[in-house]
Amino acid sequence: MTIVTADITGIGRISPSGLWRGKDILATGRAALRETAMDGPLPDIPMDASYPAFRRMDPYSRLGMTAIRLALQDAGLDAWTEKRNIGIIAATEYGCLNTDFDYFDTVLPDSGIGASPGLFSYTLPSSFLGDAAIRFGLTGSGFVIQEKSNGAPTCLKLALNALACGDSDKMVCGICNPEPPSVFKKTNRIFAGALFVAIETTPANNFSYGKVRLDTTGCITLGKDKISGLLALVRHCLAGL
Amino acid sequence: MDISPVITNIATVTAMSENFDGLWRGLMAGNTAIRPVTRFPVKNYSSGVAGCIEGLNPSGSRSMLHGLCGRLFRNFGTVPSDTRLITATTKAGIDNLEKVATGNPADIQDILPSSFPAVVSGMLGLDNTGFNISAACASSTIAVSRAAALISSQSADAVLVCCLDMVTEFIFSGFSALRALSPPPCRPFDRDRNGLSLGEGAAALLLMRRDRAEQEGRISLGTIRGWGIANDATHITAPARDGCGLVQAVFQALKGSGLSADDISAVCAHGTGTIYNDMMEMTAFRQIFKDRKVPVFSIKGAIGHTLGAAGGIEAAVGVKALSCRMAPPTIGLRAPMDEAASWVSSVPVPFSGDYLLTTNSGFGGINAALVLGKP
Repeated sequence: MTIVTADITGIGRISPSGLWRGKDILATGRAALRETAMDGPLPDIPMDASYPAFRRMDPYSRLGMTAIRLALQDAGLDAWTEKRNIGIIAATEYGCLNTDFDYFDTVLPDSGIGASPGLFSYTLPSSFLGDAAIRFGLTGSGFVIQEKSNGAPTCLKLALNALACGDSDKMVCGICNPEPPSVFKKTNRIFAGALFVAIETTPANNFSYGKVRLDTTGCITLGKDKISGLLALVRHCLAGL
Repeated sequence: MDISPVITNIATVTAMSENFDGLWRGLMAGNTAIRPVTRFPVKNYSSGVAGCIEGLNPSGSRSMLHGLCGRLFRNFGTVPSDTRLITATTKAGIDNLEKVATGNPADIQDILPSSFPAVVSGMLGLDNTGFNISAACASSTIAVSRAAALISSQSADAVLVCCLDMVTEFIFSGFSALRALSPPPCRPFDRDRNGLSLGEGAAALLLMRRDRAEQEGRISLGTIRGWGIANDATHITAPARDGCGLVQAVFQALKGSGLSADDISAVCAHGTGTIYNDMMEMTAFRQIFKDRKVPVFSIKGAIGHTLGAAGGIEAAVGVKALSCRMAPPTIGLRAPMDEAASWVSSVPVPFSGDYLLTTNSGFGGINAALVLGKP
């Protein structure tokens, strides 16, 4: 039984091969769709001139916030004059762990005297959702999820479930994975970079990459295709246009 | 058909007690478990007190998370293997990051928040490994709301919410650096409040569809009638002074429950004891309840601020308060701030009615609200 159907209206991606929006791919002949480079350094994240506080954000938060901006821009939802009930759900594996280590390095030398409040503010994996909410006037729900099966479409299911429950009619969901701290060996399953999608029950700008459907068994489909993860969803979205 | 999820099992471990009955008795007796910290040196911090659980200390390479989970589920009862799992924590086994940083042996997997649901799933023999929610001090409130949403939308029959956070030097030093700690034990809603006291704790709540609970012969302890989540979208660390996000979250919860503010009989507030949080909350409550002075209480003067576990522990306390129709006292309160006069009390307050509101707010401007109902 269907719980909800909604349109994918925006895509924002940061990977070792660069930063792009869904419509950039459509405009350039989908060449970037063939990207397979999951490894390698992530590109430099440009400053967000419209958000001065961007400078004090940690690399993880900048990565996530920028991918959210790309998804909102792609959906035509980035500009605003009044706050909107749009929620954000982000999945992450290592989250802000690099910042955690950096912060604790300020605690150790002088038994806590030099503890950095600025770094501590970014030792929550959800901090950047607050920055995104301020930057884009988003008053909906905002939380981060962590799970062992990173890459599973849990964040997408939760976003669709939020739409189904009427929590809001627009959601942004995705994955944000910076480079892991050196104490963790990088595993193959880790998704390098960030990928966010905008989902709307009623598209504000009359554009859709496709309609996703969530049923009571937890199955997500796009058209007739079963969706196994966010990357697969985006590939299906862009291939279908 | 009533689709409100029912709560069938509750457990807590806090500095006040190893179990939930002990926590409730301690709250009603007006006790506090906030005491001098001995787990790590505190001489360079702005406070030396917190609500630490007796006997919970770092040892070996495993995080304290394992020991806390073991205590939590000691007498929890059976959990069906098909139960979905949602955990909530802000920092999971962050004590192991401290060990790594100081060159001590540590299981680094415990540092990852995703290890928390894996530990719980393994401990209970669940079919799924679940996922963790991290949303600052609203983490477990949001976890309960997502569990309720999964059940209400018929995506799940049973969901276990499990939450915890621990007092570590990592956390303690950070709140000290932010000048958020109260030197003496915190005093929520008091005119002389001067910051928060940290605490540690864990809670587990088993939510089920009513018909599934009845089939299994489980007794409903209470219901989740509605939920709301909203962001202030104003400041990254400070709450919105007009309480806009909290007001939005509460009205969303009321709308979802089909109730109005007049139906709410008591409020388990976030009540951290910081100047700005408590002021923001009272500003919001006065907008929501107008001139009706609803009993408002905070338990953070009793067990400290348990961060990602706060919402789960407070939902459990809210269920008990509803069943007893008694709001526990706000420990640490001596002279209420003007805005909270006649709303908060230092003694238990009886109330009538069937619905209680719990709220939490956190870093990043996040706010979450639950409307709890009688069984």
